[in-house]
Amino acid sequence: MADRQLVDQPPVAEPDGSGRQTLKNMRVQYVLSEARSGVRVEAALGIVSFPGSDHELIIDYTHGSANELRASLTRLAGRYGSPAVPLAPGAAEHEAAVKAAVGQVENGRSPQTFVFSEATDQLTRATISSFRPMVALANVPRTAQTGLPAGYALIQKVDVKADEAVVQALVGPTGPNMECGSPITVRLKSKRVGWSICGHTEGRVLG
Amino acid sequence: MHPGFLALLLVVTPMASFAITPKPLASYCEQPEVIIPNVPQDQVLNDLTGRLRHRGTQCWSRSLIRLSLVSQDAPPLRRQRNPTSDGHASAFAPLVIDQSRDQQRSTS
Repeated sequence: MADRQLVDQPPVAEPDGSGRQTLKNMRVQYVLSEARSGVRVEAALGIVSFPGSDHELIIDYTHGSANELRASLTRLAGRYGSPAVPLAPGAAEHEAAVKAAVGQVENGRSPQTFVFSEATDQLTRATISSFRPMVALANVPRTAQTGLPAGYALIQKVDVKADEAVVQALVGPTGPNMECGSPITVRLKSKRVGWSICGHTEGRVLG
Repeated sequence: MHPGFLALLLVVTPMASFAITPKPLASYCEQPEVIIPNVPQDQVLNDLTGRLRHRGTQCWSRSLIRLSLVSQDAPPLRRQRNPTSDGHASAFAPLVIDQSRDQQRSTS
């Protein structure tokens, strides 16, 4: 079943007291989707100003009102009894999350050689090595100027939970002490089948 | 200053809990969410629909929130489709700060 959205009414013009028609409204948006563990309900809050005009502006207050939104969602969930007991992610979910994240890490790049460290779990190693070259951090070819060459991506963190996953990687080239690389964080949320990329941040670390 | 911006401030000012300066845009991952197990999605949808219709949103002043439900095809929010791992677009439609227009306003 496709995700379903509940949205508020489109904003309506209101007189602002001086005869001008200013347009303002607040809106709460709920998004329903199917997660592995149940129905996911997300909430967002925004203020819309001048909708439909050249000056239309939507200001997102979701972050600032997160506690209120969570309280509202908790009340909603409370109508259905006991809190969710999330399903533990199995190997299949773990593999699917890692593969999806690898695709995001390589987004716009040629296929990478992935680098694992002692902190990288065996399942992640097995998953990536099944379709990409993978080497241990100790075996990465280093130079005096480069700790992680171009074309290499170091897996820094893989955290797969029941309904969300985070994968962090550092893409080379980096300086000799792993500075100046491109850290990438990929966030995923579970769907009924598989994962959905919900966030991808990438930044350049200045040395 | 654009006259409309002043109007926006007037709207926001009574709400002490909200800063006038927009907070960083909440990403899809950071949106508050809850997962309700063992319930059909349609039931949650119907319950939420009914709740909003009859009781409004409980967290904020009703005078500032006029909430009514329309079909999911309504285009009130700027939609941004995110590619997903299976190649399909997600139906998530985040709230977006229109920065380009904001800049236009600031420079006009």
